[in-house]
Amino acid sequence: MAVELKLKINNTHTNGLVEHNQRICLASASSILSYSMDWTILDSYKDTRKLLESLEILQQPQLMAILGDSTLSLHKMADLRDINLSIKNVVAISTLNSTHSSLSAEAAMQGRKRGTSKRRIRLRPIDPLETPTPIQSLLAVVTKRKVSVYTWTQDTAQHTDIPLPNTPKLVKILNPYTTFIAYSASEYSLIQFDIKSQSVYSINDVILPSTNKSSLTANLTGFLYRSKPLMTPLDSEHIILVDGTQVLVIDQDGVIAKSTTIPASADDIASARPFIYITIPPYSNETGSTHVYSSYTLELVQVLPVVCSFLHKSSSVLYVDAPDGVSTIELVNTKLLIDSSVKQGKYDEALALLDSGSGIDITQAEQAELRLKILQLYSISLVDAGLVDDAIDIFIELHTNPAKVIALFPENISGRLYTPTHEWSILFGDFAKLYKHVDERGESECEDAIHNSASMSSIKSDTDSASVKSNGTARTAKKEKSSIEALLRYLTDRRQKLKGSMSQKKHSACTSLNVKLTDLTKQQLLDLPSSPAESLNGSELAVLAAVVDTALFKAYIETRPALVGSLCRLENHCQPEEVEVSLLDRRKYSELVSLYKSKNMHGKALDLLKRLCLESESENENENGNEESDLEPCIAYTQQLGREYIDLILDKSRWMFDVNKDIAIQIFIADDERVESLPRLRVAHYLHDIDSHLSLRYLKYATEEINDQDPALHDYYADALLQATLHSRNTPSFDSTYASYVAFLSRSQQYAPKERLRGIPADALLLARAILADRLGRHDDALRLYALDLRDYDSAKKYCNHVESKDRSIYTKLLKLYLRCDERTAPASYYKTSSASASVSPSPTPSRTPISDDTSNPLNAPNALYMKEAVLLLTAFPTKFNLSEVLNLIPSITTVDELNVFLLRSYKAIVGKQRWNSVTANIRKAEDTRLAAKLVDLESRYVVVDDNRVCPECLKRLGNSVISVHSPRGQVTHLGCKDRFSVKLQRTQGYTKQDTI
Amino acid sequence: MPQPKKTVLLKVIILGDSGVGKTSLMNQYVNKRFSNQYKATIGADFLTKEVVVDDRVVTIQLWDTAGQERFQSLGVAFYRGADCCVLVYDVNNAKSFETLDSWRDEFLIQASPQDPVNFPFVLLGNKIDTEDSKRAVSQKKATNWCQSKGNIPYFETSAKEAINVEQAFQTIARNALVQEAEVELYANYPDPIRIDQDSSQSYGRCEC
Ligand SMILES: Nc1nc2c(ncn2[C@@H]2O[C@H](COP(=O)(O)OP(=O)(O)O)[C@@H](O)[C@H]2O)c(=O)[nH]1
Ligand SMILES: [Mg+2]
Repeated sequence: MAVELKLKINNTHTNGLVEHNQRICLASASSILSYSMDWTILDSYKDTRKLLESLEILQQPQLMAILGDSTLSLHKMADLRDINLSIKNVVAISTLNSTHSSLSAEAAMQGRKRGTSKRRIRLRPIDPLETPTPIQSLLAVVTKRKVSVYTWTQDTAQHTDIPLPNTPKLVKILNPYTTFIAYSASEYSLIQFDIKSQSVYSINDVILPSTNKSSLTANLTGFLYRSKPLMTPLDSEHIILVDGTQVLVIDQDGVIAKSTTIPASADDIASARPFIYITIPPYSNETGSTHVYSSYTLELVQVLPVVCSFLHKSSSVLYVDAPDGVSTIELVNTKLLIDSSVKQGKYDEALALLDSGSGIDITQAEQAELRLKILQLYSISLVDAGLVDDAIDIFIELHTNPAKVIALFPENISGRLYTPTHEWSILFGDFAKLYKHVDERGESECEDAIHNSASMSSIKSDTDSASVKSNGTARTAKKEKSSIEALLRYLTDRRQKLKGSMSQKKHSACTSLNVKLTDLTKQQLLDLPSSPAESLNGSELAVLAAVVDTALFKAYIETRPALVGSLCRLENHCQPEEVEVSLLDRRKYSELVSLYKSKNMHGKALDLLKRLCLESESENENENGNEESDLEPCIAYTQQLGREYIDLILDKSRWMFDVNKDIAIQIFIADDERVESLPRLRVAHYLHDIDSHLSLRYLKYATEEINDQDPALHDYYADALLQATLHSRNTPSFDSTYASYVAFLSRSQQYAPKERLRGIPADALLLARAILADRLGRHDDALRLYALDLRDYDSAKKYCNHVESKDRSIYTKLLKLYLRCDERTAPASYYKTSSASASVSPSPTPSRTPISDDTSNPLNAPNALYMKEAVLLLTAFPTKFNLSEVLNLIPSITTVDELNVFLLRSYKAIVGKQRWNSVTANIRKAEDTRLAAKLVDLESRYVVVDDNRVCPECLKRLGNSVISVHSPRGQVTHLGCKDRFSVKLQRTQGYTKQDTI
Repeated sequence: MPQPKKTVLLKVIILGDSGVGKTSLMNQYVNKRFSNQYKATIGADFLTKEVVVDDRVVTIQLWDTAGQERFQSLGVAFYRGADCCVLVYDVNNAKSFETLDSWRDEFLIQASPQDPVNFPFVLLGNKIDTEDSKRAVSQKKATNWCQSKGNIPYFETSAKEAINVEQAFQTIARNALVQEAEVELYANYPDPIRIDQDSSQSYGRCEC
């Protein structure tokens, strides 16, 4: 026995009853009586209508809807006399108080849209402590050829009229977006509303099985079973309706989900989980009765031998109007029922029984525990039955350890977590032993299910029973696919939660990277806590993230290979050891590279890239002899590593230079911050070992293009250029190499000149020496190198100009060099230097041919060439010299002719200079006078007497005594000293005045 | 067994760094309004709009998201069943362009569409109304990116000046509709239940 009828008030009959706020309101003729929960009368209200038929509560606006004499009125609950609205000619009404949030609405909508709406499990009874979700109240009112839907939310009240072709007899709101109407016992329609706007809706007929029968049969059936339409919501997504002797469970899209037959047409129907109650009036020889069906399996549970009409469903009981009076139907022996449901594997039913909360005498804690256990059994059974999606909902709700969930899936996804079906019960603890795999539950049961299509086992749903008959394999494949789909949903959800929690706890990549799942046993993984991500500690999070991501990876490999790349590119916790093999097997190399990259396993990534590159090279060779291999990916990868990985970069890029130096150099020369960040000196050394030219190219790039200012690098570059220059002697490339050496020495300010100079072999590379000497401040040496050794007179002149500011006598020094070639200059003359070539390109001393003519008489007189240069110099810069000094220097044999221009210009310059000096002197004088006059003027006007000022006459402080000011200089004396000082002043004045004028 | 006729509802998700103008684009498209004020989007919300695509009336449901949280606060249910994903970056902000890859990957993972390779994305480069000198990402660079991702349609838009917004969303709606049609093909409808044992009757046509 599952339920029991309990009489509450003898001999009282009613059509309308509601329980609300610990009160029961009952319509009795034209009055409403209000009772306490123990049925003592509290209050009454008399209405003007003769017969009140139906009462409903609208929670949001706190209104009671009262229907009577075809008039609907809305009364304030606090005071029923206060009427808000009244509508006449009402045929039927329906109400709904819903806590649908917008997101669950979205879910509902999604289900509708995809046509995959499914059984939804009410996992937790509404917890009164939870933040109350705003309630939305709806009222549907049928009047002539119209149904009006009123909606109250927290801050709005709105109303939509829906015109209809006929007047329905019955209306039922299923959820805020779905309302069913019935015109007759076999004509049902559903109205679907848009989530956002109620004024957008569509109306569709519900296709009933009887509709498919020929119209004659339908009419006949209609005639035989002529009865009123009946329907009642089962849950927020399913409604039960009665079509003749068929009881149908219809989802919110009007699709039939389940059905069963009843012995005769029904009179009334109600649903109160876990049962559906159907009143069947007397027929043939039977007396009237109330049938109790399981709302899950639609199996007949019990028959009550009375005819009831159903009034109201409260959270724990169903109020009915029974022959003896107003009664309740209550659950009895609930614990027994639960146990038996569990034994039979009807877990959803067991849960509903538990949630009904009545007839169980165990504590809250025990109930919660029992719930959890049943839910776990339920979830396993759902997975077993292939209803993984539903199971996943439970797993998510229970925060089940993902390792356990993954363990339920095939080995290609669960890996070593894989647990065969017969061991599942071990996963979930002792209680789970109760669970038996379908096969073990006995063939007979399954057989029954097949033969009796009307009563369906809870889990082995209709599709399954059919599948046994039809092509089983295709189904299994389909089932497997859908179960992996569900797993994907689960894993991505978990991944997100774990990630969120990790980033909150700042247990970011660093800790998780160190996780190695192989360090943990399977059991350790399965023993991880089943609790919300927020309450896990860092290492648990890291391990679970690894478990989840690795499983997600495998699931992708199986079902969505295209997504593997996405997962690998993002920050992920996949275990590289576990996944790399499968990526390699499938030749998903770029994904593998991404994975290594996201895991900072760059060495492996580079090795793989190398392998790929070399393989493609050999393939290409075979095919078309094209040896070009694509280094591009390897280079791009290396480029993005950055300074931190310099050791690795140097270690792993060698081979690329062997393949193609010119391309490989891009590893170090690229317009990319990370490339530029590499330690340049190391790179230069490294490149030097491969090929000194590469090194030079790099150094040029580093110093010129990215403007490196590191002295060590510049030193290195200078030395490298020097080496290159020396090496290239006697080769055609010498000129250009030397040119760049010289150019660098001139341009860079960063190298240490002393060491550089020391590095140059004696007497070689004179131009370079000259630059370095200059850098060292040895202008004389530099000058000598230009003028005598290189015989590059032009450069010598330019050099003078360049150094003049530091050394004013530089021109004279050059002149001296030309005129007095002392011994120190001699060596230069051993080498032949054509002045022409010296001025064009710096050509040092490729051949050491002595110049025979010049050496003959080096000491006595400057040779003609030098003399000519000396004269040119004097002519070009006459003002740079001291005339008398020059005249002393010039050898006596020089003709005035030669010096004509110089002398003339020099003289002019001297005269000009003198004139200029006298002009400036006079201007200065005038300015002096002006200033003196101004000073006098100022001093005669202002004097300052402070503590320190003393009288120039008596040499005492002026203090506060009376003073006298003497013009024009403004001296200040005591008044008493005035006369004496004036006399003195007079005496000196004569001179002063003269002086200033 | 005929299915009840369904209203076509297209679910479109808009992603991109915060501040690129996702909310503004939606507002411009749905409400024809623009505000210079920046109000960070919290969580996620959607706007709907009815549009005519190729002579069909469809409702697009545009889901706006808060960029900064990077999906974490939102359930996966949110992204599942999307018909199109719109990626938005700010043409004046190179960083917002560089993160496109990870937005795309993250979306693909969260939504795990049936056919990820052909899932419709649309890229919008927003804020082209600002002066040229500020521009940080060239059109070439953007189109190259789109090409590398399988020819994603690309639009340069301005929510402020309403440039290209209508055109972009028209394309979004059209691509979403194609996707929707494909998903319908994929979807595993539960097999119709046979109410009667005699199958010829339950599926039967009128025999007269
Ligand atoms: N100039 C200009 N500003 C825009 C444009 N679109 C958005 N903005 C501004 O950019 C800021 C961020 O916009 P919002 O839509 O909130 O970005 P979201 O975070 O991506 O949703 C706001 O201040 C907007 O006014 C545009 O097309 N042009
Ligand atoms: Mg926003």
